[in-house]
Amino acid sequence: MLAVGLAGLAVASSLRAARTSGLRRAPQARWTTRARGPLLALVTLAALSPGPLAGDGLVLLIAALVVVGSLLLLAQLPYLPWHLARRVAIPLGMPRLAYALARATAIEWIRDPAGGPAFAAAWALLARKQHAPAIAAWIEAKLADGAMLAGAGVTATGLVAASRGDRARARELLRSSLTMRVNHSPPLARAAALDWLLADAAERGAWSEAARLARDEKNLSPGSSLIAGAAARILGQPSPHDVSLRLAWLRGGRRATARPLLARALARPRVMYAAQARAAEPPPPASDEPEIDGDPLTRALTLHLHWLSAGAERLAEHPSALARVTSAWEAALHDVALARKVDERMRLHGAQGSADDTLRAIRAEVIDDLTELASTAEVPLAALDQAPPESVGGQLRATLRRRLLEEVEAASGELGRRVELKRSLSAIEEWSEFIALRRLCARATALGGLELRRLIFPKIHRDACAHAVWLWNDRDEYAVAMPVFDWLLVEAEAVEDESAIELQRKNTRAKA
Amino acid sequence: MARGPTSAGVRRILENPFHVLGLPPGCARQEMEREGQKLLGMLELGLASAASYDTPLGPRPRTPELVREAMAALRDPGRRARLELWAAPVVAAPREAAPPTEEPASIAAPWPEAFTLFGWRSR
Repeated sequence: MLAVGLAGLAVASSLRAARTSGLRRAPQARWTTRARGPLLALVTLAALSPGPLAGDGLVLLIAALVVVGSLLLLAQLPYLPWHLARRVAIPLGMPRLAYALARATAIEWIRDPAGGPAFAAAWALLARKQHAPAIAAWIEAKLADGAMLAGAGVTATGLVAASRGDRARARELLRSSLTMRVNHSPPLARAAALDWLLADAAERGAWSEAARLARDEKNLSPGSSLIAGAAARILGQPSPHDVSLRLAWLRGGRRATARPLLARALARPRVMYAAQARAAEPPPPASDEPEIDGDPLTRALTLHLHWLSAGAERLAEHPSALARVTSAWEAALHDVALARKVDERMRLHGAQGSADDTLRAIRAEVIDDLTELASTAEVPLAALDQAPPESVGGQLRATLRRRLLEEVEAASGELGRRVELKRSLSAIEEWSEFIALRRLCARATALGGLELRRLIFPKIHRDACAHAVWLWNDRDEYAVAMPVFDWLLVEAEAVEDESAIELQRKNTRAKA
Repeated sequence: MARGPTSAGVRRILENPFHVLGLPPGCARQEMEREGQKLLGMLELGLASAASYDTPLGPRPRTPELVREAMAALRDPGRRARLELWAAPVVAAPREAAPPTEEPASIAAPWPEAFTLFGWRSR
């Protein structure tokens, strides 16, 4: 009876493990993870059994162990090809074999049957010493041939871009794959996307980006956990205990490679609370702006050249400097002495026009220079809020605002026109157009605030919603359409558009 | 020799014809023509003294094309009025040594082996 009971329990546990295996496992999870449940049940029952095990009891326990072991092996059979892919084909950089093995493990890719095998192939491609363009094209062709695009397909395209050396596209695609609905995104692909993004951030030394990526993720692989923990330590943010870092290092494999990162992380004391981290934040770097006592033109030119030559990255650290530069120009261009001097010089050289024309031309050149700089530095428009509309600062703000609006309207309009004409692209290109529009809107919102977000919403809502409805109804691209509805709902709620909120709530509840 | 920043705005100042010709903004047209011809001759002979010119961000290489463009720009009276303003003197920023940081730079340095941790190649 004991053996039967144990076997029943083990079967139930194995089935549960098999059913949920795709949900919570990180890529490095082993079969032992799946066996943990039944074995634990067995040991618990043995411990609870009355009296010491002896005679028939011992025989029964051994028999039960044999039955459970066999059942566990049976439960693992459907995953055998994937284990081979994960342990052999992918590490050895054999994309075609990885594709075939992954295809034979359909149970692993229920959420993206077409994208799963392509993802395995792309993973193997990235493990090769060199990029293989023919294999990359083969993977992309497989994806294009497949049914609906979903999370693994997007991740596969991102990994192929990474293998090609196109880091920016890889970054954008892999980040976007994390915004797909969980039911359209195999956990393995999602975990691999996070692994790549964290490795990319760590390789560039972009520790804030790494910490941001890992912030809301509960199921990081051990390697990603180590990078995320190290990033938090390096930045002086609340971070895991030393023991957790060491465990992540131990579980992540390639310990010799990871040892220097672990040492770096452990060299920084742990911060436990956000308030503690804020108190320890260093003051912002000094701007090195020169002290100027000269006339208004000298002051304006000095500040102008200082910030232009310092570059966008530096201005991004000191956004308020933009207002100082524009104020200096405003003072210089309204300086009566300067206008008189320009007038004299123009007469002397026999120039046409007036001093006002020359100063207007200078103003236009100044605004051109500062538009490029502020746009690259992504200075929020709020930095120029105090400038009167007709001043240099006010005109610069209007130019930057117009540019942000034009970028969004152009991308949204193009999408809308294409949908009207029913000119379809491949699913991955449709997704790329959407994520480009979403990126532009996020930028416009970050720089222009709620006012700009409200202004662009009606246009993007009309075009993006029509796009998603078309993808859903006519092309069965549910995994691509749903994040569009999700995003539009977030935007509608932000701008408090009641009718759009109602519509998008309905859309986000739609069932394929 | 400074060659670094190349944004249009920076070039507007660093390649200002008055800087290229090494003349003050108030100079006469004849002076500009004479200096331009002299520099072209010196550049043709490959004289080191003509090979660079001073700018607010340090010396930059001088080429015959830059000299010819500068002379052409200053012959246009309307353009010259604008260029005179862009050639006004500027105050050099103090270049202080970077303050000592609390942590050694290597702690926050990039980690080039990051992709190897996952069995991938960095490309």
